[in-house]
Amino acid sequence: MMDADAEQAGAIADKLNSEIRRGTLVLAVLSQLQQEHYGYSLRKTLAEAGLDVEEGTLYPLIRRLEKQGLLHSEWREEDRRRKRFYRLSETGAQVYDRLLADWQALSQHLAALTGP
Amino acid sequence: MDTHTDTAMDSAIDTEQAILVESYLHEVGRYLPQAQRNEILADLQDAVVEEVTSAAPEEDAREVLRRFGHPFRVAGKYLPQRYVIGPTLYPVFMHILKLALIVAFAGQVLVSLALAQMQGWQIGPFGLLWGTLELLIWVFAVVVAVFVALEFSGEKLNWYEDWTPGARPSGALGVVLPGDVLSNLVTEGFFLLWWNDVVVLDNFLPAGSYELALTAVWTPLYWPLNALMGVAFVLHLLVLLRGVWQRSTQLVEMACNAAVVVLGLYLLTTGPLAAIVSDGEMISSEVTFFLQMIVKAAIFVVIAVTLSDMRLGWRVLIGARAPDAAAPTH
Repeated sequence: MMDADAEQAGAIADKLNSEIRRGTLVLAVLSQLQQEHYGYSLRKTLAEAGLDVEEGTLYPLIRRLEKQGLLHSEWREEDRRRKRFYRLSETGAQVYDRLLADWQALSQHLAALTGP
Repeated sequence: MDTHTDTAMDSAIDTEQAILVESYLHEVGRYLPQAQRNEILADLQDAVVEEVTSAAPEEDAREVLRRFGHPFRVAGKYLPQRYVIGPTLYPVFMHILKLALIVAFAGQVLVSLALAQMQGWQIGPFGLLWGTLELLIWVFAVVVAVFVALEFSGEKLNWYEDWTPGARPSGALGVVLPGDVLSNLVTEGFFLLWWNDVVVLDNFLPAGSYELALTAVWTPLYWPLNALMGVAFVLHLLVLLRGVWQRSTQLVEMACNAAVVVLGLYLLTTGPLAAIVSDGEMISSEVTFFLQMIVKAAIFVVIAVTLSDMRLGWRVLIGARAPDAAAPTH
């Protein structure tokens, strides 16, 4: 019975955890695109920071952000290969600043609620 | 997909990988709308080629594509998230759908009765069931279509934000159990159709030209039963639409139940209620006797169930006054 409860709790926690991650992924991506990245390097940078993102999630997200005008992209040749480099636009920088401020305020509230 | 990007892929990865990637992109493209397909596939191809060419030597294209995910899933991630009927509209949709189905059924009963009276229209039980099912499917389709259109129009029902909390309807006693009341409504509806010869049941019994018929005892009950079932039908329709029992509707329900008990007791004390006839004549008295026992046992069960309902209804009415009686005086 206890194993079943633990399993159920684990499944619920996984589901809620993925909702939290989904909500924070945009902020994570925008934070790294203050510097120029191409898709692979962005994914690697996020993974090294502990945020593993699937390719099938990251690239559609980048496309959506670019469509919204938050990113600029340009093709350049590097290491004899053509790569598409992304960087925050002016609008993207403003949106990032706002999201960051909201996130920091939320973190403080949560810290106060959950205690030391 | 334009020649420029195809050339770029060909030069970045080998032929075998290119075939694999092309096949993957083709699969993803099957799930994309035509208007956006080329643009999305061009973006996706860039992403896939980048990952394949940047991957570690021990990772092959298949592994990279597996990490991208099933084509169906990837296509979904490139499209804006869309609900057919979203979470904002869904509760309203379900409520309206239930109301529409109930009103459609009630309307069908009333129209059938009217047609029978005016034009002598009749129908068999399977025809009635099929017609009812067909009507309900149409109602379902129309309500779904309306709410899908609302969803795609971006309607968020913001006018609900002007809501002001209010008291329940006056004399409210409790929430309706929709299953119970709906089954009453359906039973009463079909009874009215059968009682008025709109639905013609095949009373013929197997193994011969025998027919199950009601005796003349029922003749004086034609209008009383029409009135009783008609009142009960309208009552249960109102209660279902309002969603709450009130003191007035509970009292009408009690009165209807009392009438059922009185009629039941009358039928129990009268002569034969049903007969099996052949060529217009009743068959053996033994069979008739057993038939009477079965019919009267059924009526006895109806009376017992109705009395139980009346007891519950009375407790609900009394219970509604109890809080006032128990209110502390200072």
